Amino acid sequence: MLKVLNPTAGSARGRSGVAPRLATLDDKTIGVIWNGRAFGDRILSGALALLKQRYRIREVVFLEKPFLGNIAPEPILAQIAARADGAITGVGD
Amino acid sequence: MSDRRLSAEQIGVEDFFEAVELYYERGWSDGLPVIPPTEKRVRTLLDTVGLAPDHVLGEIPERDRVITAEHLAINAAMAGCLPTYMSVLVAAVEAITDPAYKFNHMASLGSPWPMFVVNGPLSRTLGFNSGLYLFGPATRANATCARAISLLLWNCAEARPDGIQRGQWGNPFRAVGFIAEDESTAWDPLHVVLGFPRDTTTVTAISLYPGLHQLHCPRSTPEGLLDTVVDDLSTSEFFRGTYTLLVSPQHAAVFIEHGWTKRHVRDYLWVRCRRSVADLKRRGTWGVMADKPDAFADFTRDVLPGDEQRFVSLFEPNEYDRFMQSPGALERRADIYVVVGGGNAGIRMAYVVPYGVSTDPVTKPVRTIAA
Repeated sequence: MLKVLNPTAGSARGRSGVAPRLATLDDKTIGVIWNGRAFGDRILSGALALLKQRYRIREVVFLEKPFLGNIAPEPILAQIAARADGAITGVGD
Repeated sequence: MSDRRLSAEQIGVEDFFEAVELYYERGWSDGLPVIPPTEKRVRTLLDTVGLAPDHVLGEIPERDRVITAEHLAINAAMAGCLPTYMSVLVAAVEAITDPAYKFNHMASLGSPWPMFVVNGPLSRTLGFNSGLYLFGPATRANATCARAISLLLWNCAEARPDGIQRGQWGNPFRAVGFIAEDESTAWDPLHVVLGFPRDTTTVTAISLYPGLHQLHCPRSTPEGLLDTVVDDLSTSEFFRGTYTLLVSPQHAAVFIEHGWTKRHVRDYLWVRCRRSVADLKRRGTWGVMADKPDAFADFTRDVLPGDEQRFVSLFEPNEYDRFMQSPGALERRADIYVVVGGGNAGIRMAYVVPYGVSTDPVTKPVRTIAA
């Protein structure tokens, strides 16, 4: 018999995670973080237009982070957290 | 010797071969068989550097994880590292978890991965290859240390294709990107150029796009050698960052004979690497980094009168940066590291292209000297 070790760091420490899924987008405020990549704003706007066809979205908070390669600065995250019920972030390339 | 318990789960298996298969089944292998890490072996690696298992080497906030000495020792054991390599590996982990390294860039479509350059006395004591077949396979130190970091990030930071990595091609440096500099020439080695004492061992992590650019340079003057490099660099990715030029001892002797330092080499390339706007337009890379609509406003790919005479510098800030460099790259350091290495016979120089968009090279001293 040989005993060997699990090499992983385990799951994340739990300081971050995915928020509970919204049951509906009706009457919700949707936050969007555009990473600044060329035309990403158009792709995200297109996605929002499709969502608006399906749901009665109350408001959209559309923000751009300064640089795609770095994590969004705290003020942007705080604004999304304070104002939006759900958030979309993605890459447009 | 630390008597603290290891925190890793212990798994019972029948024998060595069952253990090897276990690591495949759990997704803990990079494709090659691993050496099954036992507590005894992992403790030996930890004791060599005098670190407790829970000693934190660095944080990766993007993955919400910490890397401990135990994590490193387990994955280094799996890679087949000698215990004496641990001190160098600790410095390597400290480099890539430094905030300046900006870990999250490694998820990029461009497949960036760090190349590690070891300088100083331990590079020789521990047997790191700086000569023939520099990028291997050649020696245990180079091969297993590269794999140790690869496995560590694979297993502890989800740096794998089914995790965070979205690289288009992957990166061979993941397997071979741990090299030493040949410090036998009259030139100052990289760590001395960067301000470290000569008798300090350092590890420099430089994030690279995949691939080594090898150049046939049959000339025998500094200018002649470097003009080949200028021509090639000026037609490569053309993204600003810290490039690494790899110079063989034979070519280093040419420069030294003519009184050229590494700084002279850097400065020669710095001012000459440029390309005409017309060339960039024909290649289709003009304006590739023009992110914002205002930059697109006066942007056209048609070659206009005067474009053949308008030049864009690779390294020096210039009026065309908003078309050619991402906003992130403009905040990064631009430089040219000159590293001596490779076989002493042959007339080829080489360079590697940095992932300069959102990371800078980081150098860390090896603090714990192996026993």
